[in-house]
Amino acid sequence: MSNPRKISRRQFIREANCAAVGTASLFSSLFSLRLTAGVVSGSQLPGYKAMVCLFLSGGNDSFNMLVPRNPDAYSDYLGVRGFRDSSDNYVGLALQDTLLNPGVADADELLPISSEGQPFADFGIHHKLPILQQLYNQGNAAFVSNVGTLVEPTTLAQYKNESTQLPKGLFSHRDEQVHWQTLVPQVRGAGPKGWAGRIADCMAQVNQTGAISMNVSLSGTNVLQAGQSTVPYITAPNGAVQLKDYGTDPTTQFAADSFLGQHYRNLYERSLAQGNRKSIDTAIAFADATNTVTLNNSFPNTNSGKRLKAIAKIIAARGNLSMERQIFFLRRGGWDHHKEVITAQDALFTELNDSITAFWNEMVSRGMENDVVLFTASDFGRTLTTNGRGSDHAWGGNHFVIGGGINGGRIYGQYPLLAQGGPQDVGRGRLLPTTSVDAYGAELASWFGAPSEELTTIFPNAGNFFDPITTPFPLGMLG
Amino acid sequence: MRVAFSILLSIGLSITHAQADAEVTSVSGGKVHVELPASTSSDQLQQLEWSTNLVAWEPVARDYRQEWENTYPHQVDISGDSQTQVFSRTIDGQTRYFRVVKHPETTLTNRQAVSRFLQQATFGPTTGLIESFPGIDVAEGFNKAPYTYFEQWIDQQAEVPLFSLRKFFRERSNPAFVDNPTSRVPYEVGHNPELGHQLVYNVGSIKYAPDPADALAAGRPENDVDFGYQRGKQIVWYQAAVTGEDVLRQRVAWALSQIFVLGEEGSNQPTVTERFVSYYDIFVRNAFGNYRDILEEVTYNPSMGYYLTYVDNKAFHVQGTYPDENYAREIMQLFTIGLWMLNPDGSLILDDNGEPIPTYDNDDIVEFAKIFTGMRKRAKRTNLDYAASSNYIDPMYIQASWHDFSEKVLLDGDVIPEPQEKNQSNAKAEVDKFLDHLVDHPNTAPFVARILIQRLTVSNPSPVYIQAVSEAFSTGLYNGKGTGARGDMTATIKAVLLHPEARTPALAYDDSHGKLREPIIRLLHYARAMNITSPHTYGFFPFDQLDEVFAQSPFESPTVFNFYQTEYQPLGEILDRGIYAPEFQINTDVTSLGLLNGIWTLIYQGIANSIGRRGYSQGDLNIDYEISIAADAEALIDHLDLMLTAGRLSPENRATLISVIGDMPSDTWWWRKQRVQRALYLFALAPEFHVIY
Repeated sequence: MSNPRKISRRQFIREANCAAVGTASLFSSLFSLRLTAGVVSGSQLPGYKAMVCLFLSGGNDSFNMLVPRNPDAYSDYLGVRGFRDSSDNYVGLALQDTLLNPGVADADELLPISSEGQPFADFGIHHKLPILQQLYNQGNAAFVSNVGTLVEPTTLAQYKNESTQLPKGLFSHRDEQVHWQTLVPQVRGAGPKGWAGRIADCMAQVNQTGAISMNVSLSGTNVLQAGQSTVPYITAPNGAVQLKDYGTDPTTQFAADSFLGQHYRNLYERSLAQGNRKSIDTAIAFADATNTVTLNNSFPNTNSGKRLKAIAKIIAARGNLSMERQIFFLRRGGWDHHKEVITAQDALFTELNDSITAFWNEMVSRGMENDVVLFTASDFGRTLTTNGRGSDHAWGGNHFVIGGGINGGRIYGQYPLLAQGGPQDVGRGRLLPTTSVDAYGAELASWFGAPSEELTTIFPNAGNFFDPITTPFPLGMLG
Repeated sequence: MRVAFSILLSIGLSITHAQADAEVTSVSGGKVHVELPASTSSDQLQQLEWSTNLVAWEPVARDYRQEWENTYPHQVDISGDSQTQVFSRTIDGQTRYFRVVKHPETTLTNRQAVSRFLQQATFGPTTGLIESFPGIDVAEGFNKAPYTYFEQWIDQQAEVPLFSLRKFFRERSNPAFVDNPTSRVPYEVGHNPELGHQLVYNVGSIKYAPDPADALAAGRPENDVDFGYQRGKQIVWYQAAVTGEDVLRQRVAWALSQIFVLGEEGSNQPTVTERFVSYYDIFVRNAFGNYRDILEEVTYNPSMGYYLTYVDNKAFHVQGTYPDENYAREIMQLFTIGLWMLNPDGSLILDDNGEPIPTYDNDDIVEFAKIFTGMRKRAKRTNLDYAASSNYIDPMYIQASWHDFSEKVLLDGDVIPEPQEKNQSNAKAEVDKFLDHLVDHPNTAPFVARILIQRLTVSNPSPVYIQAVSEAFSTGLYNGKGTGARGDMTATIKAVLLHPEARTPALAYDDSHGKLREPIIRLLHYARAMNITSPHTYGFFPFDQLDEVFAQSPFESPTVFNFYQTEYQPLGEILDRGIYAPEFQINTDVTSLGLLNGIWTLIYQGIANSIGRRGYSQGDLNIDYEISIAADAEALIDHLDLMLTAGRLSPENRATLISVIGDMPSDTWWWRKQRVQRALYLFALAPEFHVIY
């Protein structure tokens, strides 16, 4: 890679304001659009695009999501994860395959796929994710392997010698969840804000007359979607919440408007008043826009199902909302499998499978499958070795990306050797990542339409891994 | 529409204030020195502000108790004695202007001061609590340091018989329950036949629900006693929060439960009530006890063992698997020492490069994971509420053959040696030694101090405040009184509630003082202040689905990291100022309006619909008194200002309310009731209700 550029924090903050509105903080999602619209010059981007971030919080044990089916590699996998027998008190984590472990395995828990560009061709997807296998074989899904938070490229020797900068608070949920969202892991905390927020800051002019923020969350506040002048719009699966009696009782409306229009000395009062003002107004616009939409498919009434349904509805209402670019966020929790990986993942993957199937079908029914990309994120992967039937916090993990517009049917990144003492093992089968989240994110951002000259602002460490100007698609997955 | 006019109240919240440019009195040693004017009165705030452009001013230091101090998050040099204090700052090549702003003196009436105190110390003030407060009618000096009457009230509260959630459940569930005074966990009491079977209990795989005939006999709808099997623990919790006489104890227990979080999410048995309420009782029983005892009870609790996955954890030698690391990490990160080394005043200790210093690393976690090995649930037995074949109530024991006895190196380099005898008693001794190690760690005092302050009084305590609470925790003494044992909760709580920073009204002029209150506390405030009554068959207050409404509900924290983080910063001015506001993390477009709508529902429909489980009311506000004074709009608003906003209502908002309510008819009882309900709802739309300062 040529000219990797290390960005100090101070430099980053100066460069952060793509929209060049200084450091003034305009957190009204309605107002920020109007103010930035006039400032940024940029060509109108064609069509509509949406990114959906599905955050698996807790740390998905993703080396049971994408498993080698090459005989030697599978044998390594069996060895490090522990063979599972069919007794109730089994110990071990490995998924079974009767072809690769004949006479011993009594179940087939891997759906076969193959990939170019990896040390071997044969892989398997966790058996509860048939939609992934189907989409992968159609070329509408891909995996990114052994991806994790890094500040700069780091070898095992460098990790042990502490001779490169490392993410702060490695293996801790809170720190790693935040790092996946800020992509400035050398700085602890949420101060740098989120890379989707920075994308929205840069590209806000695209939704000039839009009724809501480019960034919409179905799972409450988050760091990913917070930007310098971008505040995500938070909504619930049942739609926007409207304030009782405000629209129907003049007394209530008068009093509310009067209270919310006061200037409050106290910072918390002031923030609350401004927030409520925005929430009341945006809910009205949002309800007007989405109430006329009917979806073509039914969605499962599960945690992720409800949220993907709401996202599908908002995407369907994009015309009413005047949105041309949208970034959605939903969190599905429950992945912190210290105790029990197999049954927990069976249930969670089944849920995801059904939600994603409904979502994909809905997008196809509207001819939008090429305009939408759904990608996963998670705190970290988990230890290859087990503590019995569970696994502990680790680092690099596997993720999947779904969309009609991707170069699917492939595993990107470098699938690692699954063995203790392997070249990526920092201990207990915690794997040093070989692909940075920066590369993963930049790929998505470039597809979304972020100009390549803005990539180092959006991803301050990107230059440590690749040259964003000449290779805005470092993986080749989306461009 | 009458024109509203504004009233300047005698409490003096006016806008104008005197300003003086502070004099830079000297320049020496590369520093600029600013002499700070002496204070003239307590309860009067002076602030030193600086600006680089004479337009945008930021407070840097303040004085409200006759001593200048930093304004968080600044850490500036203030030296001198109480007569002359000087602020010093290294010259950094940037021109800065200083000024001193002196705010008007503020006072609260006794009742306003008590109402405000009760918003910090309980789930909500009631007229009864206010009128019975020590010294409530004292003419002078009521709300002045050292806040003797408030300390008296705390001492009284420690003597009030405690509301045990476990006892409440057991008396009303399985008729076969009997008293077991020698139980390892207190309050294993027997069934009370006069109360009968009111709450779902489990015997193995069979659930026993209360009888709908009870509801019909009470003239209630048949489904009045059906809460859904998993709601038993919430029902008991609401009873304690709404009706418990030990109001301070219950509020402290709630704060502790947000440190030692145990949620039903991920539980194998969310419907089994006794194990959850028995766990929660740890905080109720020890709210005036000791932090070390709390930590021990939590560690050996099998529900926690399941939640943080260390029950049945095995040493490596047992089957070649590594010990689960979950508890080793979270007991340090969340329950005791936190992530970064701290000074007693809560500030970060920095290394030579100006970087914060971690308290532990991953190797420590791998090491300490070995300590939490061998913990096992006790055998199931009768006289407990249980499903399947497990005992999630009696404390875990340590199975020596699964325990790792190898030598352990602690954080300070101290060593727990490998014992000769690999037996249960030595295993327990090792765990105990490790718990001592964590509680004795210097970090634990400021770490716990800051969280308790954030839960009760302010989001951004000054270093002075944190230090005072830290010291009470460390010494076990407040004002020389207490057990003298490290971790004394009474001393710590007194330090939190009685510090001038929590008590003085003067800091109302400091724009970063105070906090956004927790949503569930705001909802329960209405319930308590308006004397909620229960028409329910058994007298319960079955709030429900509050996590859907405003992302907070007892036993329903989404993860062990609680509803919000101590360091959360909402986008906008709060983030720009560099201060924290945890409760804003769950204050979104959805939840903020959800709470307001929930309050509307409580006022107009009772415990029902969006905040309950039924379409009919299972709890009603008792507003008879308010209706009786409602013909006088001003009297009504002033009364609600006392009960809901503790005198914080601004003159403008007060005028709007009086005008708007005064415009409504009042000639019939029905219209007076409309006035009260409308006024109650409009108070919830005023930011002064939601924020306390």
